[in-house]
Amino acid sequence: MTDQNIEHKVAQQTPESATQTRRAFLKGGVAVAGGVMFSQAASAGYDPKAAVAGYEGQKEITDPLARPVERNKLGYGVRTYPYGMPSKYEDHVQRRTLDWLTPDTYASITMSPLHQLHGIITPNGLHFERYHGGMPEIDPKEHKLVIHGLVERPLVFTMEDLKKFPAVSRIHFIECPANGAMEWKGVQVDSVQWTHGMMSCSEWTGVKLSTLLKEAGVDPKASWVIPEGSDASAMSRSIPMEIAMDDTIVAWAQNGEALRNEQGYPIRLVPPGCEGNMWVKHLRRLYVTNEPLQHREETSKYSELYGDGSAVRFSWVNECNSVITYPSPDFKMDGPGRYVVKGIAYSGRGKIKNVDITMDGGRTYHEATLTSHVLDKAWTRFEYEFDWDGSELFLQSRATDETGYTQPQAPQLREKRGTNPVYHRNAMVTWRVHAWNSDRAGVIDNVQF
Amino acid sequence: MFNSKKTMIAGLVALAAGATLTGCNETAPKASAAEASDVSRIAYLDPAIHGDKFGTREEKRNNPDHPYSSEVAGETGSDQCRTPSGFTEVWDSAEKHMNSAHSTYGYGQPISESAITGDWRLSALGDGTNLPPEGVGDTIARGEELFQMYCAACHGEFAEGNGHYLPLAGGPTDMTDNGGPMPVKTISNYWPYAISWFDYARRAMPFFQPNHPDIGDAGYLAITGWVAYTGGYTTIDGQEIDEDTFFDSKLLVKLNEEVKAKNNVNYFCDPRPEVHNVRCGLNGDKCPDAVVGNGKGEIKFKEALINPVTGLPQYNTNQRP
Ligand code: HEC
Repeated sequence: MTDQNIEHKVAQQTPESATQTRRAFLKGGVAVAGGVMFSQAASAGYDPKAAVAGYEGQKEITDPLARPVERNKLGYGVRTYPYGMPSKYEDHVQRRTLDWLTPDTYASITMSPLHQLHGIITPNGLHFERYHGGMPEIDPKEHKLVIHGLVERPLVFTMEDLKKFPAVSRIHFIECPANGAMEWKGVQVDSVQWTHGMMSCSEWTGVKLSTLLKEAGVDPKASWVIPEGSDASAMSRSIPMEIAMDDTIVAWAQNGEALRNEQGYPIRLVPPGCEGNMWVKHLRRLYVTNEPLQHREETSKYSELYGDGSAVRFSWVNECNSVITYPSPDFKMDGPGRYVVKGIAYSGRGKIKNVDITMDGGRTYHEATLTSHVLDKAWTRFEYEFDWDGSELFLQSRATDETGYTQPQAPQLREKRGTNPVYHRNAMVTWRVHAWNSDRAGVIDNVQF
Repeated sequence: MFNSKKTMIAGLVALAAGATLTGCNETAPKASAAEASDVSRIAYLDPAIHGDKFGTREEKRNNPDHPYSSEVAGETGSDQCRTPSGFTEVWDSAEKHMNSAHSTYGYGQPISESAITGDWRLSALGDGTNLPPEGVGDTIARGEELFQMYCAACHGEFAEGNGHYLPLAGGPTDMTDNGGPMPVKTISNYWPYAISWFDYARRAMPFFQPNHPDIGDAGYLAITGWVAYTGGYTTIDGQEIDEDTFFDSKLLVKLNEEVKAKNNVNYFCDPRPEVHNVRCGLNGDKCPDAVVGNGKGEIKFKEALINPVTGLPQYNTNQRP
């Protein structure tokens, strides 16, 4: 059924095919290039009159359209902006922060405006930020990467050296494991930018870490790689050799350009599927050892305090998760009628398999259509069309990944872990859509079961 | 390379037999409900390997062969967690990468281990590797002095914290969830290692100028000693600590054992996936109460509210001291 939905969408979305289909229809079904679509449309009983029935009774514009102002003069010339910027009318689309979350702007976080993003690639300027000691501006000519420890031959690389190696380009999401952290005890925030904005998805280009480790003659018995950043916090983590040797990348580019400062210019570690804190920025050192560092960022922080008072550490993977970005609390329903639910699903364990939408808080579900590429450990877009009758809704999305793992409800996670873990909260969120006949008609609130 | 990690290999093999999940290639969205619901073939969700069915946390801790045991006897005896089987198996195979031949590109430049020193060798490991030599240190009293000079402005005179600037000592001993605010986490009640406390303080603090030359290795050791002392570690390995105690890496390694005995025993490895849901509720099916609304099938919910006293979101309260 999914495939069919997709084709149906393609038919709707391609203007030429739509025209062709219409023309062919008028001609009485002569086979044309768009014949396949045509026959589908015909078999679905497409009726132009019925198609526009929803506009019945709406006020029609009769005043002639005015000439658009931009037609009155020349626009600006090439290279006015040697590095292009978004339209000035998009200046409300920004990463934002919650002042009450962190001590200052140097150990802080901003969130991506998920409700204003499209597709599976986050523009570099809107990628969420997480700093632990301010943002350095590193001269790539001075930057070095050292590999040492349990290796045959410790090596140092310049940026020029690194870029000579074979490179891969992979699309992966990165998510701070504290995404949603404020909501373990209940809801606090009323925007998808706050509930889920500590994540982004980009194409990362760089050399595989396994190539560099083997270039230095990594000891096959070594079990950990400890990456270290060159920022003020000298950010560090312990990466198990299995992950280091798997699909981890040392990346210098993001969506086709050099990494932004905020993402670790000139190089960062990219261990796909792992929590964002492990994607060490401004990478300067890879220390190969037989034991983990037990760094502050994998013990005091980025560990989960469970309800029974015990703690979980080395919880690397971001489990399967999803969120509805439209309708969501930044929007308001404008009356009963047709709506297209849109959202993002992702899993640190692989590809997204299905996304299901519930409107009744989890009793019944409808399978959504996956509308983007479906890639390993990458954002995947989904949509679901429905006719809103104006009644109160409890909207949730539920993603399942290719391992068969299905996203949990909030009470299930609370039961297992209590309300103090801070990290790795991948529970379904609930958007309450107020009934059209209520005093908050069509308003959308974040609520939690 | 993985023979100390038999479980992972077993998981890998089991999965390879049942599924083709490797690679990063784009696929067209395929929705096969039958395939998705057939979770049993996926080793990752095998309850015999995963999840709470495999015994209590206590049993997990004491059985080094358990995939989630936090003690895996290594040569250094330090605590390690295994990569959960199933974590890497849906990716490219790590083993394959390790075993494929590599011929040198020669793009880097050799460097001597001895040239990697100072700010390039901050990582202090659990077995004492990279700690300053014994005899480098200072008294607990000097540690307090330095703390007041370099740290107290943010972390408080008694290391008790200050707003969002974290407390570094003290905190509740009962770390269970009492429904109220989350407990503060310090070297007294949460940090599993004293050595990594020293490591972090030296590499990242004071915040405005980390690895401060005027504090130096001796000073960072003394500060570590004082904060631990303030935080309740008044005897180390049977030895009474006071202001005159000289704190160096020898004492730090012993303090490390005290801290481990107190806090590290509370740490476990990643037990996820802990929730094993199925895709219920499709095509006329109705989900059971346990996964509907509040977990009892009722649509009872909490809303986001502003705390009338602080003007902040309701759950943004100070942590439990
Ligand atoms: C300008 C304010 C400031 C000063 C001065 C300062 N710190 Fe910090 N400290 C911070 C901030 C901010 C963090 C959190 C950093 C982060 O989350 O990335 C922190 C975190 C810490 C932590 C980790 C706490 C935990 O439980 O995870 C330790 C330990 C610490 N500081 C020790 C020190 C010591 C020792 C000094 C003095 C040498 C010091 N700090 C001076 C601001 C400060």
